[in-house]
Amino acid sequence: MIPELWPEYEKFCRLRKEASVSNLSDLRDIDWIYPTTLLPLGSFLIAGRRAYKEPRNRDVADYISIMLRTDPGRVDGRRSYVPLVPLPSTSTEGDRVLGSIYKLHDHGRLYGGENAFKYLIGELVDNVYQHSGFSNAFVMAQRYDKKGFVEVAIIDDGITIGGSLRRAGFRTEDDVAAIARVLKEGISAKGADTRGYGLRSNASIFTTGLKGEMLIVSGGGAVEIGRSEPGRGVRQNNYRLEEDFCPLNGTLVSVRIPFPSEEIDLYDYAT
Amino acid sequence: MTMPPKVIRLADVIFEDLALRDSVIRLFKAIEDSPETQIDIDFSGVRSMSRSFADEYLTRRSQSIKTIRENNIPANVQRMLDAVSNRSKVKKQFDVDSVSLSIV
Repeated sequence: MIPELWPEYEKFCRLRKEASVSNLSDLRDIDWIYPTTLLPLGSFLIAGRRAYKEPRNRDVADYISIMLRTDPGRVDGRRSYVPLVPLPSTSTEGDRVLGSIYKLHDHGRLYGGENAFKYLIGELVDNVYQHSGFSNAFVMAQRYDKKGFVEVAIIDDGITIGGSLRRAGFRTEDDVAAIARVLKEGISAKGADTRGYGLRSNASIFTTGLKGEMLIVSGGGAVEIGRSEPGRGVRQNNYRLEEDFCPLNGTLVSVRIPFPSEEIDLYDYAT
Repeated sequence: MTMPPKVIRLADVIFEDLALRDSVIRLFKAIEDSPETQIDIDFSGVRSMSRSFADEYLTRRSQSIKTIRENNIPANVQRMLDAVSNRSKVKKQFDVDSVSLSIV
């Protein structure tokens, strides 16, 4: 089974809380780090122009140093990672950034097929452009050959899913309810009845189709979905994030896709 | 004299993987601004199309005053366009069987 993502986000929360006191993120005890921790941490460090104390483990220190250098030109199809890549503020160049992610992962051939992989990642990035109103957004990915999954994370500092729905006139109890409602009902802040399927269909493909994991953190809420056991339905863990610890100014979507995965019929989910 | 159709090859003007709604919006802005009344959209070289792109494309196409014709549509892209056109036929549902709430 693919391990859950929430503990990795919680790790970021602890690091951020410590850094908010000292203005220095202490990573000395870190001996392994996933994009779900490193991407929001990198975004936090960049936004606040904060420094960090390097991990004692030299390999981890080098890895973090490489991953946090924001240079989209460095995406290299021969490597197993996409470092912290900023999404261009306008979508004109967004297709090219997507292209570099596809190339890195051999066009998704091992992750449920080329069509499914591109559909998943393309929809996630399109959501950021359509709904978040971001100033800064980043993508990061890492393939784990021995662990048998790829992790892709996308973060933005926009108005959050709940904020987007409330701005469009939807009434939602709180940020947890807003995320859960988008996942369940496929509603869209843009209103038209042909929209709003992106995140819901993504959730179906990640969990039902590919047997992966998906974590959405947005404002004061988080929802994690995945499968606890083969043959069972989807496990949904909701988190209400208290003000002094885990809320996010924006949205993080993080996914784990097992590989190799058999090719799935994407079009069963896209309708 | 009839003006020849304007040919737009999507893989050149957008990318081989069609993902973003904004790309469709820019495409149709160029189409509506062009003097030609007939537009040939050439899909050769396209590898994939997202659901959002397909939805936006079909919506804008239906609203366009131009005569739009598609050529060289790959089979996977045609399936996505068909899937979005027939979206009421939902086959796979998001099947939650347990929900928990934690305060963190």
